[in-house]
Amino acid sequence: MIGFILRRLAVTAPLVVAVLVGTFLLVRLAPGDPLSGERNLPPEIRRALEQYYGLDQSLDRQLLHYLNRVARGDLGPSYRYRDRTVNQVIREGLPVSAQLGLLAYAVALVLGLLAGVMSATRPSSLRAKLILSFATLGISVPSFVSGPILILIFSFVFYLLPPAGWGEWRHLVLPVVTLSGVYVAYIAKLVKSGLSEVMQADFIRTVRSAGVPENRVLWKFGLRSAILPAVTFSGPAIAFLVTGTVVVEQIFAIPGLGHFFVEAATNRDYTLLTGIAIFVSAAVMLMNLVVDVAAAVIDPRVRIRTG
Amino acid sequence: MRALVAGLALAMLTLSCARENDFPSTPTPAPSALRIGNGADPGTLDPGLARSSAEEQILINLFEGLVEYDVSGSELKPALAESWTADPECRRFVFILRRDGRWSNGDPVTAHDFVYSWRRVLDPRTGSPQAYMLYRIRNAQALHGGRPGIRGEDLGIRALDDYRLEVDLTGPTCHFPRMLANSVCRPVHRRTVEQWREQWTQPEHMVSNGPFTLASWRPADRVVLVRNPSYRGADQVSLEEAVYLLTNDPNTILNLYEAGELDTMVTGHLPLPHIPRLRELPDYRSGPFLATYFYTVNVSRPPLNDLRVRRALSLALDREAICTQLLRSGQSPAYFLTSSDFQGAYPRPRIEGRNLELARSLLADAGYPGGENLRLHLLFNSNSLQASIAQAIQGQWQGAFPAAQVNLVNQELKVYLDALHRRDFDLARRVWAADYDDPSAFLEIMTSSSENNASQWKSPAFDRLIEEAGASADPAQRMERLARAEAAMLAELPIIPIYSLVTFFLTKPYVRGWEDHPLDRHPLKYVRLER
Repeated sequence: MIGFILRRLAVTAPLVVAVLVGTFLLVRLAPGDPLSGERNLPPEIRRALEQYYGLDQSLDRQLLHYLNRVARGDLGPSYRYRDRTVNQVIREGLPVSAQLGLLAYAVALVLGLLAGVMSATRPSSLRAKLILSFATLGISVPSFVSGPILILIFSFVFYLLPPAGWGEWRHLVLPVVTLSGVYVAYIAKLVKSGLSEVMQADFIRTVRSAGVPENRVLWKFGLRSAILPAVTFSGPAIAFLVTGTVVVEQIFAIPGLGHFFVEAATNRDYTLLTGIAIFVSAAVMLMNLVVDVAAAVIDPRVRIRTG
Repeated sequence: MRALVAGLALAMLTLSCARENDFPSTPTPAPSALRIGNGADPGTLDPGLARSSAEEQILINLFEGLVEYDVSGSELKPALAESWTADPECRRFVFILRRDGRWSNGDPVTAHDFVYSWRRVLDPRTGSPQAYMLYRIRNAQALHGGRPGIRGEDLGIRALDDYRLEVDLTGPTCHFPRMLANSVCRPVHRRTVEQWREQWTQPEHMVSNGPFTLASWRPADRVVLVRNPSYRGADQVSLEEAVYLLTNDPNTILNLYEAGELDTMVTGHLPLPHIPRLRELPDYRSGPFLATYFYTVNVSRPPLNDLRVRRALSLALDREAICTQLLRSGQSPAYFLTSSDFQGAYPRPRIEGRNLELARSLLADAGYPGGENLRLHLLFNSNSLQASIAQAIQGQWQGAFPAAQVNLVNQELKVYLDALHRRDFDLARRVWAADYDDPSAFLEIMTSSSENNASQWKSPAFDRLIEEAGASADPAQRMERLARAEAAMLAELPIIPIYSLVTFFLTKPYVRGWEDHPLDRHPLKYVRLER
């Protein structure tokens, strides 16, 4: 297992560096620059700022300087937030996105599992059909539609929850519901299709014939094998949820990483944009690794296959 | 089953984290707090580095300068300066500072603080984007431009003693005190800045001298200010706490206001389609704003290098229709660059109004009868307001000159700015908001040396008139010279004015002292909550 993890890490590290160099060059190719504004800067002020950010140097020197910085864990000063470093912005945005993302994922996991199991065990019941219809709706309606609809209902018809903002538990409800909707649907669908297949398998028939109660067959033997696709899906899903969900954070004015990523892109904040991109890609790769390890723990067949 | 339990545990853990830490840097506002929609996220809370009005709004409450505007913006009042004197030519000012000015750590505010702060702003290493506000001071521009041999000590500012500040200017500038109300001219606490460097604006480090201090700041979320007990006039400040919510989306701001999560807001952040409904509310407030919307014309390119074409385009515009049918928030048609006559003190010139017949004949004279062979590109940034205005103008020009081809070039903000600054456009939309209440705050952007003059129009006569106006110690004569300069510029139409902006915002009836202000400044020390 340790060899497996080390091998995977050896592949991950160069990938993160590739993302770094790619993002660094791409953002500089985009037209416009971080120093431009509605009011043009006098040349002497522009010169001073370019010097401050190292923009007066050649691109390869800038890249080397940046790589050197990142190697020491310093993602540089932000252009958009002049009183902060990129590390600070990520440190402030990550807990917000993580809180929102983890909660949304937990809700999605619980509801998705229940919905998946219910629709798999009694596929022709009305309840199963209803659940699957909701799941399909959840997948098809994008959050920029479901978010405003929820705001309309819960903030302006019933006056129950604030339409935006961050700081109290009541600010969490609508974004969590919006965000988890899509994932509930995915998990339910994955569990349902996995479970339907597994429950027909030979080993389940053997377990049943040994007189094990049906509930135990389902939850202990059936689900254990059926949940693998959902676990594999969960890795990148958690990584994306935790590192910021751009649309939901914009709709509900949530100061998370997704929000800062958009701000960085529109303001051509080179360092902030590259910093968040590196951070998110590292997180996704790490979560994929975690998922692979988890899959090996849950299902011995994976261990054998990946050796 | 295990996954289910794990999921539930995860949910409980996350919720319990939320409750225990309770969002440490974002406490729930006290019931006596004023909740303000700030419209945008400040990039800095360093007065020396501020660039946007989102920053200015907050900074004027954290830091106090020599002068300030009253609550309605109609009068300039002494603030930290008790009084000031000027020589008859307005070349040298002496400001007498109040002796009870205090930093929030108890240190006295002295003339030395101003010397340090202004030198800091003009030091090129500071990278202050608004340093030009101090260019009237002798040697300021040279110092800022890094001219060899010029040092901080050569700047025309001197502390005669702890409470007397002498300022030498490059030329007669009787309106100089008006230029000092901006946050870039406000002092910073030297020891704090030097000790904490870029981090000095963090709430745990910041030392300020205004009626409020910084309690917390989380980017993209909120800035919380609390009353400063060591402020010299603290007993007259009623508001205990102010929470600036930093979202920039007009729909979110309106949602928050209507859901009772905001008490008031700064100007211009309401969604355009809602304005007709909102105007009917008693909460809706509107007033004049020192800002003009115009199209800048690239006069170096044919066909716009021909004055007849520029005049024809201006004459064909129905500005009234744009204001009353499209914008509908009380904006007025602009026939000038300066959006105000400054209470009658400024004999503001104006260009001709709509005259289609003359427009068509001018265009025919220029060789484009009925708009034939006339191809124009209107550049603007992606934004529904800019797009609506550009479409209206396109419609009016095509209606007046049916054979003309008016193309819209819609670009993302940074791409648009790039094109504008590279002068790669025919006509580009602009807005100019004045930094202080004086015609020169508008007109100086059209001088040959101004980096904000994107039109490529350069007129030595205009430059000379602006210079002569600056050199005039007689206020009436100065205004008359500025008006002549504006008339000379308008006669050549390097810009086509469209409308004068107004402030518009919503404020709850229990908020007192949050007034319309022509510079959109809202000093919190005048605000009272009467719930």
